[in-house]
Amino acid sequence: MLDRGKISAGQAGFLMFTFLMGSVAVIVPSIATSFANQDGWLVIILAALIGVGVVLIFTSLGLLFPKQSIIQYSELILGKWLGKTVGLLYVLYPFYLGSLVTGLFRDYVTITALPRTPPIVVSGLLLAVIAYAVRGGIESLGRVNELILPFRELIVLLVILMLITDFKWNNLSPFMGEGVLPVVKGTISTASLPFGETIVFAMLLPNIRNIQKVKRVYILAVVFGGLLLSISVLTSILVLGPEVASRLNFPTHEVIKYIEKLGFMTDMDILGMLLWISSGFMKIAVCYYCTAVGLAQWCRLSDYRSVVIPIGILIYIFSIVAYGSIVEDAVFAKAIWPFFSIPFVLLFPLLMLIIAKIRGLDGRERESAGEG
Amino acid sequence: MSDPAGNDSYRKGEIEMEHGTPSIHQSVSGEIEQDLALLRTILASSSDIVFREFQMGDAQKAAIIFLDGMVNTVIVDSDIIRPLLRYGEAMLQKSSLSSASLESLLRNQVITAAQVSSGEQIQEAVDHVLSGDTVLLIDGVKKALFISAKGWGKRAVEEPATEAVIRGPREGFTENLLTNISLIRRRLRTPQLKIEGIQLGRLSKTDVAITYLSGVADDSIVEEVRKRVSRIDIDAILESGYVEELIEDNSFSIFPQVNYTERPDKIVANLLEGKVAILIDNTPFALIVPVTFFEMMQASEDYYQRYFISTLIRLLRYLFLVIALLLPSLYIALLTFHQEMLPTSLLLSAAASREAVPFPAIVEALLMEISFEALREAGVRLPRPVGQAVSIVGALVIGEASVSAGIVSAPMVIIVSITGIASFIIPSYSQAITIRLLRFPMMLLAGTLGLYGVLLGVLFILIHLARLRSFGVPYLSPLAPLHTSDLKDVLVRVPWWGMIRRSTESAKNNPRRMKGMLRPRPPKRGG
Repeated sequence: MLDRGKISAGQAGFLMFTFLMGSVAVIVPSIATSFANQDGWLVIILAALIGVGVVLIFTSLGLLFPKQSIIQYSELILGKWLGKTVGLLYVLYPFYLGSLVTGLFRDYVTITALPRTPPIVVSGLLLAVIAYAVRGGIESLGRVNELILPFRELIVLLVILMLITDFKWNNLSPFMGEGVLPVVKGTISTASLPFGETIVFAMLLPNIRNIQKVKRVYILAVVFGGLLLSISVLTSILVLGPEVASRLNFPTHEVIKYIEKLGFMTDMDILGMLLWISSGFMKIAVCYYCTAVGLAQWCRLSDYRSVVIPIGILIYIFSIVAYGSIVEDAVFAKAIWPFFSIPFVLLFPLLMLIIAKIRGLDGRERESAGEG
Repeated sequence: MSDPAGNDSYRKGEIEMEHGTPSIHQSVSGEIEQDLALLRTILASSSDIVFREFQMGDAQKAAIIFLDGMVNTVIVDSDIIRPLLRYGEAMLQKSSLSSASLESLLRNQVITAAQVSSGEQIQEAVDHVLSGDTVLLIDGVKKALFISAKGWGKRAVEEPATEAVIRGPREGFTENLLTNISLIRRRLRTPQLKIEGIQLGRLSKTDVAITYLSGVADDSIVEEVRKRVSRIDIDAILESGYVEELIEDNSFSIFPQVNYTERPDKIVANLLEGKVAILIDNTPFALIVPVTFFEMMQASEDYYQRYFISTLIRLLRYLFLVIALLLPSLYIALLTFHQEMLPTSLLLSAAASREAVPFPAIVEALLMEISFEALREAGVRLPRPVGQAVSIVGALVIGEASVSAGIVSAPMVIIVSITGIASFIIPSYSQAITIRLLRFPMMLLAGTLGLYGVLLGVLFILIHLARLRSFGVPYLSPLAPLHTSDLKDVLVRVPWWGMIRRSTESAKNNPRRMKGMLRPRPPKRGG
């Protein structure tokens, strides 16, 4: 294993939760509401259920080979050439995802907080700090996340509580007013966007100490992540109304502006920026880490730390090249990303699981024999 | 040391480190004139050395050698010289004795001092003389007797100046290692208390004691401490800071990874948690390892006050930790980038007071913070009576004048003052100074990138802390990685009857510290 650091299943679950929360502010709420209007919150819950399925597939596959990552066992299952190719795709997937998220957050920060700061400075500094975290290994990522998570979610809950007086319950009706189709469309799109992306956590499985708990923990993370995402979308629909919420780029950010309490707490939306950045930070960090470790495994390097800085520079450049603007990305995420991610999220893992079962491959016995 | 080239240069350094006299490696010859002459050459040009030659009876020559000022002359007179002169003759006349039995006779029946040892090497004799022992040479005996009659000026046990308490013992360590060990022994009367002595420093030969509770402390940590301390090879150890920098995990971290204290009760409390203490002669500061971030935020008084008070004070400390680190940068960020977050009336008054100020907020804040740090440092270094005058001039006169001259705004003075006070609320001085230093990069980030910069800075610090370890123990434990049973003593302090377990990381083997169900209950009425 390239990173000897071990995290507990709980820490991995927290990481996945934060990873999902990284999508609270950008893209996901506006996609969900633009498809399904007032039923956006339902879309997220349905998508989370699909996410549970995704998690079940890749953890079942991963648990067959508990000491190996998806890049290593793909070679074992699919043979050298095909396996290497699929492995490379799984290096590129988190790379691409990380670049897109970097681009998104770069724009998010520049638009909402620092309009006169050059965007490349914003993303450059962000990636520099993330690179430092990634070099520290999965242990330090797990610990930092564990430390920030309770405080962040506490503030999120406080924000939602403070908005309760602004809730307009009429905004939720009519329930499924335009039939089932918009909800289904939205579900497919959001299932691929935050929930399908959890496939990158297949890379972390060999670093988890008590791996037998991982399935339950990952499912809990998806369920709670989905729930909180849904509540955030619900809050923005209740406060802003479906029309406004679906038209805004960052509805969960804008909604914080509605807080007016005690006479001095006004225009707190920057606080929202801090909250969403701190989870987006972890999302990029996980993608970055998976790319670095994946590439090192794919090239059979002895240490992934040597590729951290080059990959950081590539993500930095790619986030400028591949990500045009927030509008472009919204279209891309709605129309292309679901189809783009199907092979990564469903096809390859399912295929590998079936082949592994048929060929009777099982990494567990050999590993445990080696240990004893 | 595996590198042969490095080894060579290291050897060269060794020769420069101690200019040994070749003859020092001889053994005691038994010819007293010859031995004394040798000792005189080795210890030449030392005006404080005393060679006292005398005769026991008519023929038996003897001499004692000691350093004036490092021995207790009363003991030397009454327990060494007097018995030797008075009874020595009578003893000697009993029979003609071999040299070996002469030595044991003197040791067992004549000298009345408590600690006597012997050795055959001149080197040993020199070491003992220099460490304050009295050396006895007897003509015809090929051994030297080392009689302990140490006694030099030392400070009495006083209240520690850096860690005052309202409630709690007022004893502090002194510069004397043995006094310090006795202060610990008196609080832990168990043979489990281990005190392993080691000498560090080729020239200073400083006594260092590795102290721990066997059966409570993790053996691997004790072994690691032993290993790291014993690999120190330096000319002298003058203060615990030398050892600290030579044994810490990450030299390039700004955060202290070794705690220090001058309170014996704090050392004992840490020993009971499974920590290892390193006591060093000639300094009142003892080191504690391993240590976590949150332990640096605890004061010994937290455990003596009632738990409600301690918990509230602890929460206050964490609040002010954040203020000490972030308040100026938050103020700068709000004023420079996010004015809309300020309530209108506050914004107006801030703008009004900044009207005459020619600098941007960041320059203004840096000016004030740097002058505050300078004042603080000057206050420490200056002689006490002058120091007070400087702080009055600095704080009152300059502060007032700079506001009315329009160089800084009044709100900034308030911010800087609160921040200054906040940093003193952190119990560990080394932790406090770290936070104070980190304030400056945070201010620069706030001045350039606003709250986004502050967030990135905080994340960077947190990542750094999460990567840091102190003797293998994660620096942010028990919060990250999470040990739920240890949360009883981090942000809150539960009552003593709830402190059933020791901290998980440092006392794995022996976690239980008390019987359960110790919560006091009043007797039932009418029973």
